[in-house]
Amino acid sequence: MTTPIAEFLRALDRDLRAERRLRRARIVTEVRDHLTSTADALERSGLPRVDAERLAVERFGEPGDIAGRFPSRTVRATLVELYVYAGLLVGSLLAAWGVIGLVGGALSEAVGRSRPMPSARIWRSCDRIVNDECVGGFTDFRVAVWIVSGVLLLVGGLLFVAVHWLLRRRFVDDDPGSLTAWWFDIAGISTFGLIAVGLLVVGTGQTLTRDGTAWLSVSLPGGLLSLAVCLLFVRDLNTRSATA
Amino acid sequence: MGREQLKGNLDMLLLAVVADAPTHGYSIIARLRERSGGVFDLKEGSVYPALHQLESRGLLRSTWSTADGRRRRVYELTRRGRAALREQVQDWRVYSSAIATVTEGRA
Repeated sequence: MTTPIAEFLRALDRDLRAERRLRRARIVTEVRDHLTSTADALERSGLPRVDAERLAVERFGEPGDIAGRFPSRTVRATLVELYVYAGLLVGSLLAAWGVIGLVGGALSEAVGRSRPMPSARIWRSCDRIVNDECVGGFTDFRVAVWIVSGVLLLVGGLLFVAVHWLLRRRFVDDDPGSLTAWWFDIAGISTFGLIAVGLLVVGTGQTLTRDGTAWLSVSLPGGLLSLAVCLLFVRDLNTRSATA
Repeated sequence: MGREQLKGNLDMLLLAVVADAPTHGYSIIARLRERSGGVFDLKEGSVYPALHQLESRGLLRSTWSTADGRRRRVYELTRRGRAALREQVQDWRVYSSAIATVTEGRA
């Protein structure tokens, strides 16, 4: 059975159609809380629930009139919001590159051609390995570069995300928030998509050009897992688009 | 007080009520009514667009809180809001004092 408050909220939601979904949801939630509080107070004073709700709605005003009074969104707020979400996205992508760098660095060492040199924190690409000793080859800085740049990108990316997350709480919150619900999907698709492509493409390339299978054993499931997570985000995004 | 007069000063009144402590819409309206001795009895629905307007101008900020299992939007004054309130109260004092001076003894 529909109550006077539920009926009013439906009408208000309909009259707020021009507003974006999240903003509409915020307004309706606020008004629901107000009407319920008013009806509770009237009920406590002795009115039957239905009459209390009817009176609460009557005091509140006409839904169409109220809906038209809410301010429209400013250009500045939209720009700030876009900047914050772009920052969050860039941070996520940097962190994703960091993950690829770290995995790549770790795997390069495991492929079999390179060995860490005990006296220095660098690797050596060996011509041959005899009794786990490196014979010939050249000093290989690539692994060190992969790992160091991976750590830097990962830490930097996460810091970037943290800073913009704080900015989001300060400037965007979840009120105008047209992008709030979308951000996790957009960032999720980009981040996991990048990791999946990075691991699969680079991993396959490494396997084809070198003799180890370590790349495939780690990068293939890692890449497929990232791809699966990426597809989950895509599905969520589609569901959102359909219901928005 | 007439609805039109009240509308013209609604921003100042809302800022003044929120200045006491962070609070939600229902409580703002109840305090407004209570502190004015029932004189400021406006259509409750008009308060929420006014609160949103003040927030979009940076005079208020709001966050969600949960009480008795219900989500509530709690408003608080920003630094700009506090400055704006001081200015509006000052303007109002000058204005009301001028009205009183002009109308004194005429009623």
